[in-house]
Amino acid sequence: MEQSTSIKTEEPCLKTHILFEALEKKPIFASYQSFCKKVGQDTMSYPDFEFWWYRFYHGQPVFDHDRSMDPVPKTLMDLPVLLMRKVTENFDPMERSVLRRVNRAMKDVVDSHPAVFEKIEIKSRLGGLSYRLNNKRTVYSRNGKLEKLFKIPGFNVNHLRLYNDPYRSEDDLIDLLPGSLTPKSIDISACTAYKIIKLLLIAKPKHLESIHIDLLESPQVVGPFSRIFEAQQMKQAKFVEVESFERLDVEFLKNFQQVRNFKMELPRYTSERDLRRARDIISTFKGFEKCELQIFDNKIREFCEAFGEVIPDGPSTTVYHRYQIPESNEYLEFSIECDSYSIITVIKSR
Amino acid sequence: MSSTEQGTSSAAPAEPTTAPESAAAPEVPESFYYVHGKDKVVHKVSAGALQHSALIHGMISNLGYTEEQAKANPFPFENIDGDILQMVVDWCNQHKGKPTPPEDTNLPKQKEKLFDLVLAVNYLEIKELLTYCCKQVAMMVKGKSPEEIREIWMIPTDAEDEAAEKEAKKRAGKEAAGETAAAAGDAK
Repeated sequence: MEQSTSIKTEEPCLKTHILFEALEKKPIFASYQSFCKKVGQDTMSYPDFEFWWYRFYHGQPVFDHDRSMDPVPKTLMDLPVLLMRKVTENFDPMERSVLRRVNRAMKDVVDSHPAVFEKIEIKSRLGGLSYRLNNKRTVYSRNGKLEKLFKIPGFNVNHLRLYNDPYRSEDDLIDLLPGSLTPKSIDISACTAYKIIKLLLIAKPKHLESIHIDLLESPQVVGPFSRIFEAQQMKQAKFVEVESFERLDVEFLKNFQQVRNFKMELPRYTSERDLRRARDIISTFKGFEKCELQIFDNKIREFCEAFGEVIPDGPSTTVYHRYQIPESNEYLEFSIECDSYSIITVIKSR
Repeated sequence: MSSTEQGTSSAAPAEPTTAPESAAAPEVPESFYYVHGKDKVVHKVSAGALQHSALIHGMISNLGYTEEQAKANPFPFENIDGDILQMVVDWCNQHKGKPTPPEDTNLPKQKEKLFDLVLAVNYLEIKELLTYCCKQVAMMVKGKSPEEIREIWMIPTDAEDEAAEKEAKKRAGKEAAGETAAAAGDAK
């Protein structure tokens, strides 16, 4: 106790400590923390420590320099606002949320930047809510962390992924999210059409380019799919992909009648008859541009038999088929690429 | 690094030495200009290096100085410390005619110097260097808690700010009252 008091009051003793810290060539803040651990938190302020540390670091171990004539040191807040703004451009929105808590002036500078995150993934599971920002590690949302994030002025996200566990019945994800966001893409995994619609409506259709929907339950549990496709978001998106816990049959294609470009998976049992049915359904779509149908089986034989094409003898794994849409000068250009699975691409042409 | 000499903004500098030029010197002789900071030390810098500074480049273009006139009239930057101007001149020389790299790791680590450099570079309108400097300031702030940021950068809390403001107002009020009383006394 006696020694610690003497260390605190003896300036040369403190400076000797700083000198040793500087000689260790550690980062300055780590040096300060180490110094505080030895002599106590309130012994010397960081700016004073920094002054001596840099002198010693640059080989000027003069202990009796008179600082009274030195100019008043500048602080971060002495920088003009425009420069402060330029400095804070180098922070991502999450890092800026720390700066907001420094003081009001800093908060004003930080809030002048739009808080646009590249990617946010939010999961509502039995264990609670968790989130991932820009592919960083997953964080469990405690003490309203996520709510605080959404309260950042100008909050937005380019790619939003929402996962609602089928075993979690609460609507906490829906309740938590802001009323509307303008993501470019949204990826929803949920178990009922009701939840999917609710989550989808959060994204404004004008900005939404891509929608990915993962149905976590069988179609019977999910409920009326057609309601999902009635949303403007589905009609205006440039691309829609639907995946399902249970493979969706060819009749599901009817739902895409107002979608321009889509992707879905057909079941392994898809027959020649199903493929012809798929062609007939797609040929009725007015605004259709392109789609991709995946089947986890080699369906080249069924494809050729369905559309009257010759089954290739050799190693060729791609077959083309052109179909004129009845009473129209438009065509559907089919191609099937097969390996252990098949990818059927359909493009509308004139 | 450019060599320097003592001089004044009004007096013509006595032959400052030239900054080292690259081996592949251009055929047309390059023009040089002279700048000095608060310490009056004159730096001879090529027009090519000074192109980084939009402010000086604009001055050069408008003035149309001859070599002799440029020598006799160094550009005075009284608001910039000599050592900071030296850093700026060195940076301009090092990056003369070269594409600027994505990062610059040779910037000062000491806050005071870095702030002075940021302000000088902002004044001289050196866009790339300003970007590096601001990034360097940001790197020094990143990863710290709000309390640590306040401690390191001497930023008052809102409560401290308000108290200081109140105190300043009180002092200003007292001074004004004192002046009024003195003026009344004089009038009597």
